Amino acid sequence: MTVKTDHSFHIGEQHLRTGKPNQDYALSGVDYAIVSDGCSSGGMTDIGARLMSLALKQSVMSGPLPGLVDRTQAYLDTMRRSLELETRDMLATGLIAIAHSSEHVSAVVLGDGVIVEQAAHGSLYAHKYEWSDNTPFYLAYTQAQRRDFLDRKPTLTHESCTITGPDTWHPSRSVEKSAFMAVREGIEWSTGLIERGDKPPRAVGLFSDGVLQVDEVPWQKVVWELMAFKSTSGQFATRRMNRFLSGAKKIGRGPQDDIAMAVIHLDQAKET
Amino acid sequence: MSDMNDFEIGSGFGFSGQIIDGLEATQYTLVTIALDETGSIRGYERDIEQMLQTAVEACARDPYSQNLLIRVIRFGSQYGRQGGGGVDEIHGFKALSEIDLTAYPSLQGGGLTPLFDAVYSSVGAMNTYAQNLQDLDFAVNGITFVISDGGENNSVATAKMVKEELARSVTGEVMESHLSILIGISTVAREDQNDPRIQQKQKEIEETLEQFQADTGMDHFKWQGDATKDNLAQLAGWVSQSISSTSQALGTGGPSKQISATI
Repeated sequence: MTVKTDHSFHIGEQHLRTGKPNQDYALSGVDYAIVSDGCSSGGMTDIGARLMSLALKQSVMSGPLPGLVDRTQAYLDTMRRSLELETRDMLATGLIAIAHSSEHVSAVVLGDGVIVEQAAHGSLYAHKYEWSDNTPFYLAYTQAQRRDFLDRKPTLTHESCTITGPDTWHPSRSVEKSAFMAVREGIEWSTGLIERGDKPPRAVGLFSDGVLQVDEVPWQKVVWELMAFKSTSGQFATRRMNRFLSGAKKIGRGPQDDIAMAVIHLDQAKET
Repeated sequence: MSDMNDFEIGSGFGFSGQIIDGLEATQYTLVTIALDETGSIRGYERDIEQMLQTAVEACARDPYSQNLLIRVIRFGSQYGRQGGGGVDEIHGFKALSEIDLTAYPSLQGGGLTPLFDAVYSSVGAMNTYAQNLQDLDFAVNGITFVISDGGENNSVATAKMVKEELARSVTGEVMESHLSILIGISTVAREDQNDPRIQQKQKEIEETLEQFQADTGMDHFKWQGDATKDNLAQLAGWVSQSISSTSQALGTGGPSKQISATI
């Protein structure tokens, strides 16, 4: 299996202006990519986001996909206790993608964010997961907090979108997902579940919801630009992010929220 | 297997640079040092070699030393037979960790001064390599030092070619910023520095090089004076500090202001 992975994260304008730390984080390894987004109204969620990423990494390296959510939660608990942190410090979403073969990637969303599959022909199939009131579920919630969260009857929306160019896209569908299932098992996603013809995808990208808040740039254009890799050598995602950020700051004020991405690139033969 | 690639600039000029796919960082400062190896430096070779080695070695203290790619060339009409004008590449754009200072060749002054060739090769190679990096989303800036003790008298490259490359280097399209600096040294005062004829000769060299800088559009001219050990050691320190300032300015959108201030 030949895959390449990379990740990048950057502080947003709001945190930069107010002297707060970047609360997004990302990681990648041989066959996995992870993105995490700390809750702005939580505690030290810059640390929480990093711990979420590390817990997801430990989970994926220690067992199969079934059971990943439970293992991650257990790792988070252990980390929180050993570092004497509070639950509010651990409030962070998480997205993880794992390459099972050079054709098949699956992902789990713990909270919200965007998953993008880049087809061999270049089009992007984007999946945006958003909770009502911009209040995602956090895996670090205590049992009581989980009950409170579900008692509020939150809605989880999955919006699909096909992006065929920097300025061309059309929404495919928008469906409501089961909040209860998402809390219990996470939101599962796989490359095998979408229509993409007979060729394996080129890449899968994970993004924090920071991509939805880039000043003057629609999120579809943001992910198009961030997936437009010129090569897959070295820190290819970081270079793409840096170039995107310098361009975005010429158009508007750049990302308002922290922004993170992690990528699994599957098909090196299709490099542009 | 070599980790260097060969590139073409045009008009028979070429250069080498590290294979871009193998570069680990996301941004680089390109540095070129071009050394005069014409007949008039005879007797000063060891001191100039020492200056070069000290300058390159001192770059290791730059906090962004891992983001430097350094190219060193020498020029003199004795290299004209190799193609690519009177320029010989000691090494192409290389990470500091890949540079073996002990492998630097001994200089041997001889021949005329292909100053246009030196600047054309320096800036042309930098533009070409920077464009390749830029195309792959690397952030790039650059600084070029051309050290000479005499004016142009034997080039393949023309003033027009040099001007075009220099103009291209500062458009912001191939590099975030680029500074080109012509450094003049005097090698005529071996015997009597107080001799008015020697002083007049030095003045003429300084004016010739200053005019060359103005005519070609190089950013700065720095007159370092006599090529004494002390002066060359001071020059080595200034070159490495300027490289460090340039690497720290990458990402700010412009060149380092410190360098202009110290000229």
